[in-house]
Amino acid sequence: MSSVELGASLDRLQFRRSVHRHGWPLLLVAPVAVILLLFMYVPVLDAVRLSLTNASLLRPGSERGVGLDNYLKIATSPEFRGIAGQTVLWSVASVAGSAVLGVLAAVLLTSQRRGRPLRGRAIIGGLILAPFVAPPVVSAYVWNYLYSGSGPINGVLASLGVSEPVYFLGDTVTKLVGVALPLWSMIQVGVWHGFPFFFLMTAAALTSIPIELHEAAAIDGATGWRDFRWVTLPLIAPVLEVTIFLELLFRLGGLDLPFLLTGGGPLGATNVWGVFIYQVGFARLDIGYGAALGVALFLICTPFAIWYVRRSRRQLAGF
Amino acid sequence: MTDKKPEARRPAEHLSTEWLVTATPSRRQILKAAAFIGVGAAATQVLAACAPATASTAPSTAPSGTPPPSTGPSPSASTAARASLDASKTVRIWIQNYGDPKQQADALATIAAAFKEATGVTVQFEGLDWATAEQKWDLAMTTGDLPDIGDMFYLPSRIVQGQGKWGPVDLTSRIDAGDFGDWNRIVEASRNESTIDGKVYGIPWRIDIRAWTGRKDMFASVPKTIEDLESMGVEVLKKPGIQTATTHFAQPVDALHQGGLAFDTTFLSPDYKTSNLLDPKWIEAGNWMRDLSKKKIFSAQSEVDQKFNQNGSFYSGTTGAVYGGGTMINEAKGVAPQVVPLMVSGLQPAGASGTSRSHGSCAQWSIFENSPAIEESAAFLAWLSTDAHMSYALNQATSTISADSDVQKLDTEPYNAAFYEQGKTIEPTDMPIVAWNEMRVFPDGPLNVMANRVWGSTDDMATIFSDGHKAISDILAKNP
Repeated sequence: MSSVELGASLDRLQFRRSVHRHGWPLLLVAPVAVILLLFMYVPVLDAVRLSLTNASLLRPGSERGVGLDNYLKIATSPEFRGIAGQTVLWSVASVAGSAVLGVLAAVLLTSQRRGRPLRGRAIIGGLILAPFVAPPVVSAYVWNYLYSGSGPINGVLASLGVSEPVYFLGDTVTKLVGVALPLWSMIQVGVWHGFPFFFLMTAAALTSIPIELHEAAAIDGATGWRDFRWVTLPLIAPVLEVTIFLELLFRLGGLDLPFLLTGGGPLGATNVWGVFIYQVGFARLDIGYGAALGVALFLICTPFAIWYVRRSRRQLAGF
Repeated sequence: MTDKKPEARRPAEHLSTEWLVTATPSRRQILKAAAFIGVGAAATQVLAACAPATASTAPSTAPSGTPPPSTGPSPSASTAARASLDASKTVRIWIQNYGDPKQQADALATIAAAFKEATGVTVQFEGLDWATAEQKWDLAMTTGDLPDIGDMFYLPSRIVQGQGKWGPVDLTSRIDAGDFGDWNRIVEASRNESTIDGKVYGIPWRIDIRAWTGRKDMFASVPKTIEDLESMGVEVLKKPGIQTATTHFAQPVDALHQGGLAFDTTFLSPDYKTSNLLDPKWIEAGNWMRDLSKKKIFSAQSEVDQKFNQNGSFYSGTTGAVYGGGTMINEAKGVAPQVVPLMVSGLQPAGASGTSRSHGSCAQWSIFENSPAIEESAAFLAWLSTDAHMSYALNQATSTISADSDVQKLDTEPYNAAFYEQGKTIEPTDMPIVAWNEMRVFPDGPLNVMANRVWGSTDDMATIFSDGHKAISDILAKNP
């Protein structure tokens, strides 16, 4: 056998061994791969295709390619600029509020008084988690009722002498710092809904900090805020970073709370990117433009996702 | 080198999964496994196909307080007709949810049971929530994933969306043959709405006339003019618990339409080919609506807030009347019976012309071209529409008014009299053109956006209607 023939024979042997070694795992993974392909990757590719057309469900059969017109419309539309700004504000403000409240709650609940853990922390912890476990539909209906013109909040305000009901989710005139009242109300609901997640993650991180570090810091005179700032915060920072990042991503593309609370109204005051995609695609039935909005959101979120994966790998390598 | 043969399996090895990991399967083993999986999948499909079909069951209790269904024979229930129907088929019908859900479900169950007894054919109703009905119909009309019969609106655009494959069936020949009784007994506005290019695509079963519903404990009488409305509304606002004198009904575009009619102007030209939004009367109407909202005679919240409970505010007493709403008496009997004795109806307050004007629209039962049960569906519609008592029971249970004058004669409810009177001269709520669907899409189609800006913003009125005119003209240009 010549060296070439021997080399070819060895290659075939290696291939057969590889197939034998990996055959079963590949076979078992195949169904999931097919499902992912069919229900995730193929629809994404089709969305890209649709985004380059003027497809409308109101005029079936008249679809034609329009190149990047839909993307140009996104970039130049004043309507979309407003929605993008509202989306950023809604995401950043609700996540920031959730983070602050969640960390505060976790620190308070895991703190010790005279060497003993806080009494009733299990019950309080359970109550704190209630917004997290409530489905968004339930949360939205509850807050719609609470915020309504004849709801309990206005009832309390009336008893305090406020004669006119405050339409927290329907006021088109009142603005605070240039932002409509309904958007602030929605941000408040977002904070309420999101802070338990921060509480959970932070509480878990806090319990992993060795008590000796706090004792050492106390010996050096760092107590209270200084202990938190220079000992606790640096140690829980990696967990906080991941949590903030994930919540931001969810808020940027999500539509559940805004859609259920206000539907994007009144007058678009609470309209965010996710709701706008739904309105364009499923109310206006302009699926070409709707697909472009979805693809644009995907492209904006992708770098963040890549950054997150790389950071996670670096952190794991560091451990 | 040779392939390593799998080791002989030890006793009880079937209880261990170690062999899965350590054994290297041969090609024969892989093929055998794939064959087993394939046979299993095929067997599952066969078993599923053999399983009996499950049909959803509607409550079987008869609706209370409704007249008993007529048991008189109808042409389609004759023996010969029954013999031509396939009793194994099920006629699926989508109907929007109106009024009290339980009342409606009970009435539909009674109708389905009666038809089954008469013909042996099963009818299955599915209720659609109004909040999502538009999207559901639009998506269904695009894909063809439709029932056999639908409670239809926007008929012209459905014909386009059907692409000649699954659109509404042309019923003209059946109507001419008398299958649905005397066609001229259907009110003219409804006949016109169901007829596109000389062909009839639906059988009208209800007409949604918008008029005035007030509470006697709030409004001393029905305001005859818009000036009366304002002066009486000011008095209503003095009553405890009142937030606004009136509320609106349905979408912002409907309230805007009402306002325009009070000033004798409409959205489109009479031939529906051009926008009429540059008519100066619109600015007058818009300023009037905004002014009355500021004075809390009208409720801006009921239009700009998508989650506002319009009828609920009437029942709870935070508002004194519904301006331009549909019939509410049967819904009230179900959800707020304590308010029923206080309810009174009337014509919409007249504007400068001195004539009360309003709008209304009918809904039709349409059969879809891709239905596998067209004959059974047609038989059902013929049976239902020619049985005045059965039709009346459906209208009562859905808190709607019939488009059939024979059925209207059965209605002795005093509350409905004003609606029948108003219905004699109504404008169509939904314009009979393909472009209408896109114009009034909720929540952010151009007409609804325009209405929201009138009610809820401080934008210049001329600018609002000018922007609306441009948007409407663009849509008309896309749909010649």
